[in-house]
Amino acid sequence: MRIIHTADLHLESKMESNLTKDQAAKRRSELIEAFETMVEYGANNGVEAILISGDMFDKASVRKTAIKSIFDIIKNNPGISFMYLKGNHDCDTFDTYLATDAPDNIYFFDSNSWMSYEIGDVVITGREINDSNSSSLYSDLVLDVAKFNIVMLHGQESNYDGQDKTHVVNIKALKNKYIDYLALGHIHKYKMDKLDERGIYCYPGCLEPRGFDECGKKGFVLLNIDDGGINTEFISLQKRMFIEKEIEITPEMDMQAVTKKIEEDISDIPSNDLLKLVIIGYTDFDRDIDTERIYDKFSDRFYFLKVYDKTKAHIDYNIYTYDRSLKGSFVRLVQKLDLPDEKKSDIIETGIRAIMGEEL
Amino acid sequence: MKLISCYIRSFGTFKDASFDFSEGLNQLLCDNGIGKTTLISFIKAMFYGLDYKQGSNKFYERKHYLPWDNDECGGSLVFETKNKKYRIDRTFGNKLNEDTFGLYDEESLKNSDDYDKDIGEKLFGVDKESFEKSIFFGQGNLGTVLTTSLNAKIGNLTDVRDDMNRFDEAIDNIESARLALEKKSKTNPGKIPIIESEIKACENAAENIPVLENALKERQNSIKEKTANIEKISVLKNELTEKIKRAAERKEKAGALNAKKEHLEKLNSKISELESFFGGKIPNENEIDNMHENQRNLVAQESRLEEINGRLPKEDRIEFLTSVFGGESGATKELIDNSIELSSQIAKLRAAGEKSALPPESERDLEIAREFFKNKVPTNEEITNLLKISEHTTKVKAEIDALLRRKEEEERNLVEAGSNNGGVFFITLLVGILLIVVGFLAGILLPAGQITTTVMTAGMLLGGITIMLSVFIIYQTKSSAKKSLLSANTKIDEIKTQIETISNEISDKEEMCLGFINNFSEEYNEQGILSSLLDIQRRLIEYERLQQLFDATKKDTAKNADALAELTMGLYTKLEPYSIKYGYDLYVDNKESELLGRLSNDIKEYDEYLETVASSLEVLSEINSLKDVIDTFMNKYEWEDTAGTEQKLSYLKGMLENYTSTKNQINDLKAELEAETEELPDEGEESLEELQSQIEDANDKYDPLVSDRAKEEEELARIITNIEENEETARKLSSLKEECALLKEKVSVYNDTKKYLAQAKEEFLSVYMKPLRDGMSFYIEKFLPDNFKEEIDITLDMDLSIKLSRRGKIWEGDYLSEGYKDLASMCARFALINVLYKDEKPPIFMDDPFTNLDGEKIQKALRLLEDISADTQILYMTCHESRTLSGYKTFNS
Repeated sequence: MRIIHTADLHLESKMESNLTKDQAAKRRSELIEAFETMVEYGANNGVEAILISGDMFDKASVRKTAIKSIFDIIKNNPGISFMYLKGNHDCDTFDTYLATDAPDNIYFFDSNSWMSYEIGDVVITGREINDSNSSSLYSDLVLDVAKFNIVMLHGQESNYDGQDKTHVVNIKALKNKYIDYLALGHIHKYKMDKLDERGIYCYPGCLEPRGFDECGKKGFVLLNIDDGGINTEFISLQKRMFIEKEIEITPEMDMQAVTKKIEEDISDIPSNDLLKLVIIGYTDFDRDIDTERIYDKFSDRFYFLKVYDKTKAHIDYNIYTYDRSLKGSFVRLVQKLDLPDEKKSDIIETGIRAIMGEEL
Repeated sequence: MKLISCYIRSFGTFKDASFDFSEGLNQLLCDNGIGKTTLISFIKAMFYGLDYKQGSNKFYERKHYLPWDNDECGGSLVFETKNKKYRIDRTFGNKLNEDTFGLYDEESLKNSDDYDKDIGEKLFGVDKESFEKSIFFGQGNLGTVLTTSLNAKIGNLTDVRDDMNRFDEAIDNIESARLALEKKSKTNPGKIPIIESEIKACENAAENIPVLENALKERQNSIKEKTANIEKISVLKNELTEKIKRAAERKEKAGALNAKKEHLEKLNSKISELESFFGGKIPNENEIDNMHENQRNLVAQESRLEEINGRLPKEDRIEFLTSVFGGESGATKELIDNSIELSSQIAKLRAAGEKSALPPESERDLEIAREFFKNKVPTNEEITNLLKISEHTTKVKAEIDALLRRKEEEERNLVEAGSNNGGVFFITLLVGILLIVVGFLAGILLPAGQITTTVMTAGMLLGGITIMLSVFIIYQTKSSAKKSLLSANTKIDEIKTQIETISNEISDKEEMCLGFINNFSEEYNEQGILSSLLDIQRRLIEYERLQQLFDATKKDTAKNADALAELTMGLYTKLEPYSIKYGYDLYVDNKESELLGRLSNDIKEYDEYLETVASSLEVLSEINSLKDVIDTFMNKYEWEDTAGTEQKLSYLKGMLENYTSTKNQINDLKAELEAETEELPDEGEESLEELQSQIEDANDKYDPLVSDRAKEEEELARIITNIEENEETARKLSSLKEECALLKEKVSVYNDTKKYLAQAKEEFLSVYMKPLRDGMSFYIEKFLPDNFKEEIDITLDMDLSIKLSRRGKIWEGDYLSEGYKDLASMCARFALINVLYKDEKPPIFMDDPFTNLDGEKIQKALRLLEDISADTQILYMTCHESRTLSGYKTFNS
C-alpha cells in the first residue's frame, strides 16, 4: 500500500516580505498548485491515502475560493482518502464550508479522543492536541500490536511535556506503543528518526517554502507498506526554492571581480528560484559594494532577488599605531573600546570617511 | 628672551623716543592716551611688522600709527635671545612694499642673517595673532582663546593642523548624514521618520488583524448558529409539509369520494333510460356485430351482383356467340383444338417449302458465277498446270533482272576504271612545274652566289623529276584500264546471251497463260498472270459449291407440295361453316390460322358468359337470404326515423356500449367508493389551515435567517478581504523594521563616531593640554581662598575656556564672579605661556589688564606678577597707582 505523508502546507499564508503584492499572490496560488501536484502524483502512483499532519492552512481568514479549490482537488480524486489532522494554525474556517460542501473522501480527527481509520491492514490513528488532553493523550493511546499502526500528531518534538504543551509532541511518551510510523507536522524541515525498536517518526517539512527561513529541499514523504514492513522516500516536486547564497569577497576585488565571483557562484541556481545574495568579507576602504548594480545585473535571471551587503571595510590597524593625527588618535581610541568588532569597524570607517570629507 | 631697549623714531604719538628695559617687572604708570598701547604696538610691529589691511583690532593699524607729518615711521628694538643681542631696524611706508627691515648683531653692529623680516614668528613660534593671544594682555582682557597656531605649537604638531581643522567639517559631515536619516521635518523628513511612519501603518494594520480575526470568528460562530437554526427550521418545515400533504390528501380524497357518489347517481339514471330503450331485449355485442357483418355482406353481395351483371356481353354479342357455339352444331373446343393442330402442320409444310429454294444471296452469287464462266468452265487440273507455269516464268524473270543488274554493274566498273588516277597525275605535274618556277625565280631574285646557284639548280632538277614521275603515272593508269575494259566487255556479252535464251523460253508460256485468262475477263490484263490465275481458281471452287447446293434444293420442294395440298383440303372442309359466319374464304386467302384464333377467343368469351350468368343467380339468392335475417333482427326494436340499416345498427351498438360501459362504471364506482371509504385517512389533530399557518410562521423565520446568513457570509468574505489587505500591509513590517533597524544602527554608528571623534580630539589635545591645565592649577592656587579651592576644581577646556566642577557638577566659567574669572583667565594665560615657550620665555606685555578687579584681587594679581617676573620679563602698564607694585622701577609719563 502506498501512502503520502505531508504537513505544514500553510495555504493562504503571507509570504516573504520583500515580494511584490502580485508575486505574493502568485506564490499563494502556487502553494495550492503544490498540493494539487502532490495529489496528482498520488493518483498516478497508486496512493490510497494522503495524511495531512496539520497546518494545512495558515490562519483563520481563508478565502472561500481557496477552500473550494482544495475541496475540488479532493473531490476529483475519490480513490484517495484524505486524513486531515488540524494543527495549531488551522482553524474553523474550513468547517464553516464543510457543513454544506464537504468531500466524501476526507476524514477528520478531533481532540476528544483518539480516532482511527482502517485502510486494509493499516490503521491510521490521530488526535488533535490541546490544553486539556496534552497530559492524558499518551496514556489513552492503545494500538493493536498485530496491525500496521500509523499515528498522526501535530507539534514540536520533545522528550518532555514542556511549557506550551499544546504544541509539543512527547516522543518519549510515544515509545513502545506499537507505532510503526509516527506522522508528525509542525517543523518545516524534513526529519526522520527512530522512535523505538519498532517504529520511526517523521516530519515531512513544508510542501513549498514561503520565505528565506525555509531554504532547502521541500516536499512530502511516500510510504510503501508491504507485508507489515515500510520503506519511505522523500519526494520533492517543489516549484521554487528559496536560496540564500553567501558570496565572500576580498579587499583586492573590484566591482568587476565581485560581479564575476557572483556569476560563478550562482551559475547553477535555477531561474525559477528566489535568491538572497549576501555579500560578505572585506572590501578595500576606498571601494563600495554597489548592491543596486548587482541587483540590476542579476534580477532578471531569477523569480526574485534581493542583495545584502554585509561586507566590512578592510582597515589595517597597524598603520594607525604610531599615527600622530586625529585619525590615528581616533582609530586607537575606538580599537580599545569594548564594542563588537563589527561595530568598531563601522565607527572607524564612518569617522575616517568623515575626516577625509567623503560622503557618508 | 628679553627686551633691552627701543628707539622710536616716529610711531603713533611717539616721536624720537627711547626706552630701556630691565629684567623682571617693568612698570609703566601713565595716564590714558599717553601711549601705553602704542608702545606695545611698536614692539609688536618690530617683531611682526604692521598689518597692511584692517586687522583684528578693527582698525587699520598702519594708517593709525603712520605719522601724519610724513616723518619716517619706524625705529629700532634691541633684544637678547639665546645669549645673543640683536637690533631690529624697521621703517613702515604707506604700503607693504615700502617697509624696510634690518637685523644687526648688536655687539658687532653687523647685519645678521639669523632671522628675516618674519622674525616674530621665528622667535616666538606663533603668528602675530597668537602672539597677541598669548603674551599680550589687553586692557580688561585677561582671557584668551586657543588659536590653531597655538594649538599646533602646543602639540608641536604643525603638520597635523589640517587634520585637526577638518574635525568640525567631519562632525558636520556626520551630522548631515545623521539628519538625512533622522530629521523630523514635516516637509523634508529623514529616512527613519518616513520608514517609522510606514512601520506605524504596518503595525496598525497588524494590530487590526487580531481584531478582524475576532470579528471573523464571531461571524463564523454566528453563521454556524444560523446554519443550525436553519437546519432546525428546515426539519420543522419538512414535518409540517408532510402533515399538510397528508391533510390535503385527505381533503382531496373526501372531495373525490363525494364527486364519485354524485356520478354514481347520474349513471344509475342513465342506465334506466337505456334499459327502457332495449325493452328487455338487450342484444349482446356478438349479435349486433353479426348483424353488422350481415349488413356488410348484403351490401357487398349487392355490389358484387352489380359487378357480375356489368361483365355480361352486349345482347347482339350474346346472340352471335350463342349462334356460333350454342346448340348441337355449335363449335366445340375440341374441334377448334384439332383444327389448330392441323393449321400448325400446314404452316410447317409451307415453311419447309419456302426453305427448300436457294437463299437469294446464293442465287445471286450463282448467277454471277455462271456469267463469269459462260465462255469456259475450266478444270482444276488445267488451272493448277497454268499456275505452275506462271510461277516458273516469274522465277525466270527474276533471274533475267539479276543478270541485267550485273551487266549494269560491270558497265559502271568499266567507266570508273577509265577515270581513276587522273587527279594524282595532275597534282604531281603541278608540283614539278612549281619547283622549276621556284628554282628559276631564286636565280633571278637572290644575289648571285654559291647558295643561289645551289637553290636554282636543286629547284629545276626536282621539278624535272616530278614532271617525269607524273608522265609515268598516267601511262601506268591507261594501260591497266585497257586490260579491265576488255575483261568487262566479255562478261557483258555472256550475260546478254543468257538473257536472250531465257526470254525466248518464257515468252511462249506467257502467251499460253494469257490466252487462257482472256476467256474470263479483260480486267486480268492489268493484273499479273499469277494473281489472275489464283482468282480464277478461287471463283471456280465457289461456282462448283453453289451449283451442288442448287441441285440438292430442287429435289426437296417437290415432296412438300403434295402433303400440303392434302392437309389444307381437310381443314378447310371442317371450318367451312364457321368461316362463313366470320366472313372468310379460306381457299382464297388461306387465313385459317386467323379464323382459328378468333374462334378460340370467342369460345373463351362464351364460356365466361355462361359462368357469369350462373354467378349472378347465386349472388341474388344470397342477397335475399341476408335481407330476411337482418329484417327479423331489426324489427325487434322500435325505430322512429328512416335511417339506413347500417346507421341503425351503429346506433344500436353505441347504445349497447353505452349500456355496458355505464353498467361497468357503476360497478367500478361502487367498488371504488367502498374501498376509498375504507382507506380515507382519519382527520389529524391539526387542521390543514392550522398547519398552513404554522408553516407560514416557519417560513417567516426561515427566510430572514437564510437571508441574514447570506449577508453574514458576504460580511465574512469582506472581513477576510480586509484581513488580507491588512496582512498585505503588515507583510512589509519585518522588512521595514529590518531596514529601520539598519538605519538606526547607522545613526548609532554616526553618534558613536561623533562621540569618539570628539573624544579622540580631546585625547589628542590632552597630550599638550595637561601641562596647560597643570600650570593653571599652579597659578590659581596662589590666589583662590582655601575653602574655595577645596570645593571647586577649576580646569581648562580645549579652547582655553574655563570650566569649574564643584561637588560633581560642572559649570562654565560664567559661574565665577568677573573678578575671579579674570584671575582664572590670567592663570590660564600664564600657563599657556609656560607651555608655549619652554626653552626661553618671551617678555609679557600687559596693558592695564586689572581694571575689572577689586583691590584685594588686584593685590593678588600683582603678587602673581611679582612671582612670575622672577624668570620672566614683564612690561606692565597701568594708568593708576593703585594697580602698581611697590619696590619696582616705574616708568611714568
